[in-house]
Amino acid sequence: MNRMELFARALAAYPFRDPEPDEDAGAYIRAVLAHVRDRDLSMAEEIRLGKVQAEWTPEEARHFQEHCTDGWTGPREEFDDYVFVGTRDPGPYQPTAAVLLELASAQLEDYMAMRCQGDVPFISLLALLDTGELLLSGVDRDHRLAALKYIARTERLFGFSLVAEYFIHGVNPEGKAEKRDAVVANIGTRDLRIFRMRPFHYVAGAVVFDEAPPDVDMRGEAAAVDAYASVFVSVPPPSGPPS
Amino acid sequence: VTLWDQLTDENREALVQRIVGALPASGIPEHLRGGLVRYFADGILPGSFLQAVLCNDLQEAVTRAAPGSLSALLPLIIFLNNEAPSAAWGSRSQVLAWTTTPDRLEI
Repeated sequence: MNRMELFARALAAYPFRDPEPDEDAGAYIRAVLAHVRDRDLSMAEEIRLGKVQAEWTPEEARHFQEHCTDGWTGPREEFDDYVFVGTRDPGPYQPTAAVLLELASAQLEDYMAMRCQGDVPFISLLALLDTGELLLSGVDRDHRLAALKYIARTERLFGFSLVAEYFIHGVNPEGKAEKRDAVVANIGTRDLRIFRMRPFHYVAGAVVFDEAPPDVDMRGEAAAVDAYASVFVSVPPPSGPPS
Repeated sequence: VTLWDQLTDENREALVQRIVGALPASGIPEHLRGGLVRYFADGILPGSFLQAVLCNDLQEAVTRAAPGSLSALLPLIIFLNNEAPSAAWGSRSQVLAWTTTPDRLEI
């Protein structure tokens, strides 16, 4: 597969606007690459290199692993012209880490069940409030962080769980770059940050989930590349019992 | 003498039938189909966007694409991979070797 074909496949997978009248081809191709990169890091790298991941050399795979997030700015932190709409479940649910993890597990299982039926075109957001209420919503990938920060500013947010489908990129022991499909839960409170992954593959077009790896604690060094590390930043902790 | 000239009438007829037969299900927009048929059937170069695709020149394809044409890129490439003679496209030199109207090449 050459660069033109990789480019065409990317445009088909992630449709993009036409070139502007005064936009040169190089600028347009770079814009497409940025658009694709935000959705599938390795697909963008395949276009850049002009060959599929399976054909990358160990050196190219290593370079990708080390630099794939260079210059990535992450999802937007604030809403622009976007209205957050959510459903409020009065509960009450205990605002504890144990309850949040239990709710997040159920949310993850629901999402996995939906994924077995077909693509899920939204990110599932669950916010557990100090009041014992739950906020539930579907958000798009660009606004997932903005929605959480909005809730953190306007509600008494105890913790959150975001569930979505992602590509998980890695390099295998032979030095070949690999991409896995996975449903992922990002769970967090002020004191807790967990990345939970449920990888899957396709058999005759049907989704089959693989063995679940252990949860990853995203605190410490991992926080440097964690888009959700800033959710509670600048939001003072609750100072008393919920009103 | 181009590669197209070297086809026997029988081979040419078979090629045209294959190309024309595969186009309806290809997903290629109507306005691009005639140019493809003329290129493979008669060696006549199509418009500049299709020329760029045939030459496998992404930069030129983007430059010369009419609004909406880039979404046809994938069906075009799949069609070429599956139905077109590999010697007739894939690079500028291969297009020049196939076409009977090399003076029309803009890429």
